[in-house]
Formats: sequence, structure tokens, C-alpha cells
Amino acid sequence: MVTLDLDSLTVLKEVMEEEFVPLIELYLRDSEARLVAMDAAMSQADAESLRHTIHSFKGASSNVCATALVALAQVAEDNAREGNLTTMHDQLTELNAEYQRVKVALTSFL
Amino acid sequence: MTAYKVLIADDNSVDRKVLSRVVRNQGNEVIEVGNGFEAVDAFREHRPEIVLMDVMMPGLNGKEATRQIKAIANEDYVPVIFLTSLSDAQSLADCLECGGDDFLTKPYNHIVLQAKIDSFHRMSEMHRLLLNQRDEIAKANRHMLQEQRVAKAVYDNVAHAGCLNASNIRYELSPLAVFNGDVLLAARKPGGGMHVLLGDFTGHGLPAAIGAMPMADIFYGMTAKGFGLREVLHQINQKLKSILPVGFFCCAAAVDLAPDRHSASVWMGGVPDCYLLRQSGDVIETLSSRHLPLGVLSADKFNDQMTDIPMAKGDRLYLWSDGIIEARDAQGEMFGQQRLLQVVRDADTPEAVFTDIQAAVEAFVGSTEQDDDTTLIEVVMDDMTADEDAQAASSTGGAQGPMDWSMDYVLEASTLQHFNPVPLMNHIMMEVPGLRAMGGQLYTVMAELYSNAFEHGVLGLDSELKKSSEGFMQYYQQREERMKTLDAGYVRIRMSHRGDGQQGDLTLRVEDSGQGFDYLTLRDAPDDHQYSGRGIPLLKRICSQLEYQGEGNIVEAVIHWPLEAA
Repeated sequence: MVTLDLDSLTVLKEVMEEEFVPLIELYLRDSEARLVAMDAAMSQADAESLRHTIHSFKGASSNVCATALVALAQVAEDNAREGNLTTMHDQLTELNAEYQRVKVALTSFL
Repeated sequence: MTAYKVLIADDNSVDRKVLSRVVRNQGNEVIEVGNGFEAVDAFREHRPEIVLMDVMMPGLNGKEATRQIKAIANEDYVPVIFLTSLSDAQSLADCLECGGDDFLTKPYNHIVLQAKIDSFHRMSEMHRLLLNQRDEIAKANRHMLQEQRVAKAVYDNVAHAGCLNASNIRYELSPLAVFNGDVLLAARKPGGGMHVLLGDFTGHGLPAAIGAMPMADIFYGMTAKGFGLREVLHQINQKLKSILPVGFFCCAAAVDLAPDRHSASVWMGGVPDCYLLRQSGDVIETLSSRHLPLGVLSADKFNDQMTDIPMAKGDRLYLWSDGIIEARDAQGEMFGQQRLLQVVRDADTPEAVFTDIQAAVEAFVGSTEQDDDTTLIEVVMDDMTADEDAQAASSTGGAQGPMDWSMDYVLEASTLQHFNPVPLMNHIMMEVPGLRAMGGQLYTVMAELYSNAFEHGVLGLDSELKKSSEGFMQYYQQREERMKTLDAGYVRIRMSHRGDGQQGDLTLRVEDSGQGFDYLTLRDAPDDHQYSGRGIPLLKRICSQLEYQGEGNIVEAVIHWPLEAA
């Protein structure tokens, strides 16, 4: 699965015009904060808070066409909704790793 | 493209920025907020036309924010479109159940987004139009009711109840009947007895009321001046014909009640059959319309032929408009003439008929919401003296009116052919308050003296003729012929009045151009043979003095008021 759907991202860039760069910066800022929030929720085993944050993370990532990240987030969100945190630690690590790839790809896209 | 003001509430700032950009790119103005509280505040401040609302937001969630926004919007239609990434049917249905107008699933399809914004904008416009029209209608309705109240007040002044409260009348009429086109009028004749008219105008509302006003005006005015019902109907017909548009007219039943003759004359045009119930209660006579309604035919084609019916004291006449016949029950069936006749037949006593009819119609119609246009009147033949006394008592107080005056009125031949001065003379006498209660007697005296002067004097008709029925015919034949060819002669009426407000004397002096008659030899004859055919005994009972002068072509009558008890 691709890190970035470049065709869609190109469309978004056209739509956003001069707001594209601030949007990407906003995404990165929000995402860093969400990853921190996810770790905090995980350490407290707060499945509900975790679900919320992953859901928002997924929504934002979908906007920037991070296809693989959205798919990972979807699985994690489903688990969190079911209160299943057994594999969550590994999933968060995967999310983090994929996010780093997205960040690099986005930065190079700019 | 029209620019709409769109409020976007989404805590996910990336989502919000993207959506905002898309909506702005489509030409709209956007207000962005990040949670429910801000959404409610921004709505209050900016009054957006459409709200795009994320369902899940921290603090105040989308559903609760929507509830508050809808409450603030009150009557205004503000569509709220929920934004959701959920796509299962239940989640989407929930969006609508909690007050949303539609939903939009993430990721957004730009074309669908714009189509929804346009569609909801059209709906808002339609809603606004609807509210405006509703307000317009409400305003127009208030205006109409106000106009109806004013029109009713004017109408009541013109068509006051007349003598509908007389003891021989019972009636039912909706308080706003003038607007369902029904009219009930009753007036005492100056010569005793009364005129009653039931009218049913075509149409409802103001057109019906407008026709009723001149009708009432003519009815009361002419009746008070002593005109016969035929002349009154003639005048009303002519007036309605000239003022009402084609297709508008007035079905009517009119009754001239003459207790002194123990009879009534009835004219019916376009109204349902009416009933006459004898005092004994066992005979019901049906009276049917024989004429076209008032206001249909031109004056020369109008038929004022009345039907004379003997009516003894206590006989009852029932008149109604078709409202009572056409009253419908819950199934839509009409009350009908048959049922009505049965109620009259089944009544225990004649007195009970009126209330029985009311009760039967009410029971038949039941609780169905009906137009309240049942118009019904019962007229009982009565001597009506009690009412006249009451009327006299009420009319003696108050203004003094003209007390000391005289007038001289000469009618030449060409006028005599066409004009009856009695109503005019009566009108002048009625200006004296003390004489008003004696209207009947005064009318009789004036009418008698004038017809003597005109018929025996100017036309030279022999009063002896009237003694036999063949002679009677001959008399009227001659009267017609001589009137047509009349080219000379006059009748001179002199009236004078002296009084002090408590009492007074009215002097009537009538002189004609005829040869007079030998009143001296007849003067001492027994009362019932005196001046045969000239109605003198009757006059003597009313007048304090009655005296012939000159060649018998001058007569002077003095009437003193208040009239002493006989």
C-alpha cells in the first residue's frame, strides 16, 4: 500500500492553492500532538480516549492522502472501539513508523 | 452563482481547512469553528444560512449544538448537514433523528457537497417564502376581520334590528349573518301592522353585506313613510338590480302583516317553501315562491304581485333561507324540506314549533363544524297593541322637535296623476315627537282625507258607488279612466301644529278643486250613515274636531296629542 496517493494529493494541492503548505504544516503539527496523546492514553489503558484520537488522526491523514496510514489507523481504531488493547502497543509503533514515512514524503512533495 | 453564508464546525482542523477551502472555492462565505460551543455562538453572531456540523466534537457535541441552533433559529429554516466518517446505515440515520437535515460522509465528494448546499438553499428560500406568505395571509385575515367588524357596525346602524324584538316575532340569525348573506328586517307600519323581510343574498362576505345595506335602508325608510310593501319591494328590486353585478341577487320572502284586516300579504322570490300554521295547530299550509329573486328583473318586468292569505290572531308564519334546508349532518346529508315539514307536523303545540325546529336542526347537524347560517323567523298574527304602547312610551321623552309650524302644499293635476303625497305628509308629521306614537292614526286620517279630496273632489267619483261590490268595480274603473285624462284640478294640503312639548294640536286642512257636497244635510244623520264611503266615523274617533267648510270641498281636522284614552 502506498504511503501517499500522489494523484489525490495533487488534486488537493490544486484545491487548496496557497493554503496547501499551511495545511500540510497544520497536519504535521496536529499529528505530532495526537501521537503523544495516543501514547498517554495507552499508558493509562484508556481505550475510549485512544479511539477518539486515532479516529481524528485517521480523518486528518485521509485528507492528506496517506493511504497506508489510514488503513493502519482504521485497524487500530476498530480494536480500540472493542476495548482490545492486547496488540495496541505494536500497532501504535507501526502507526508512528508509517507517520514518519508520510512526513518525509509530504516534505519532499512540498 | 449565489454566495451563501456557511458555518463549518469541526474539531479536526485539517478536515475543517480542506472542507472550508472547497466550500469557499464554490463561491460561498465560510465561518469556521472548532467545537459545539463556538458553533452556537457563531450562529448567533453571524446567522449563517447553512451549517456543516461534525458529529463528534469535544465539549458540546454536534447533536446538542444542532438542537440549540435550531432553537435559536426558531421559525427560520436553517439546514444542518452532519459531517461524519461513519457510513453504516444506523449512524447515518442517527444524524437525521437528532435534528440534522442531511449528512455528508468523509471523504467529501465536491460535486455532492455543492449540490447539497444549493438544494438546501432552495429549501430555505422556499421556507422563507412560505413564512412570508403565511404572515401576509395572517395580516390579510386580520385586516379582513377588522373590515368586517367595521362593516358590521355600519350595517347595524343602517339595518338595526327594527322591530324584530316585537312580542309576536321569534327569530334565529347568526350574529355575523350579514356576511353569510342572510338578512332579517321587520318594521312597524305607520298605519298599524308590520312589514317583515327575510333575504338571502347570493355569495358570502362583503359582496353580500353591501347589497344588504341599501335594502335595509329602503325597507325601513319607505315603511316608516307609509309606503306599501309592493312599493318597497319594487324599490329594493330596482336598487339591487342597479348596484349588484350580474349573477348577484337576493332571494327573499316578504310579509305585510295587517292585523286590522286579519290577513297577510306574502311575496316570495327564490326562497324555499314556507309554512303557515293555524292557531288550531292541525293545518299546515305551504307557501311557495312565485317570483324571481330581488335584483334579477328590471323595474318594468318586476312582478310585485302579492299572495293574500287570511290570518287570524294566533296564526303563525314560518320563513327561512335555504341554510336550514341545506344544513348537513356528519355524513353530508342535507336536513331537507321533508324533515322540516315533519318537525312542524310533530310539534305538540304551535308554540313549540319554533324551538322544535331549532332543536331538530341542531341535533341533525350534531358536532360537525358547520357554517352558522341558519336563518329562521316565526311571525305570529297579533294585534300588536301592547308593543305600540311601549313604543309610544319610549318615544314621548327626549327632544321636543318642531312645535309651532305650518305649511301649505298644492298638488296640480299632472302631479296628482303620478304622485301620492301621503307618505311625505306623514313624514313631516312624524318630525313632531309627540305625534310619533300616533303614526298609525295620523296616517289613516291623512290617507282618508287625501283620497276623499282626490277621488270624490278632483276626480268627482261618487262615493255611493262603493256600497255594492259591482259598484266597487265600477268605481275603480272610473278612477283609472279619469286619472288618465285628468288635466285640471288641485288638492291643497295645509298643515299646522301648535304645542308646548307636553301636548299639542295638529290641524290638517285639505281643499280640493271639486264641487264639494252637501255636508249640512248629512251632518245630523245617524253616525253609520253619515257621509257614506268617506270613512268619516273612523276619522271622528281619532280627531278632536272634524269639520267641512265651503261647498264641502274643504275639510279641517284637528288632532290633539297625547291622545286621550278612548
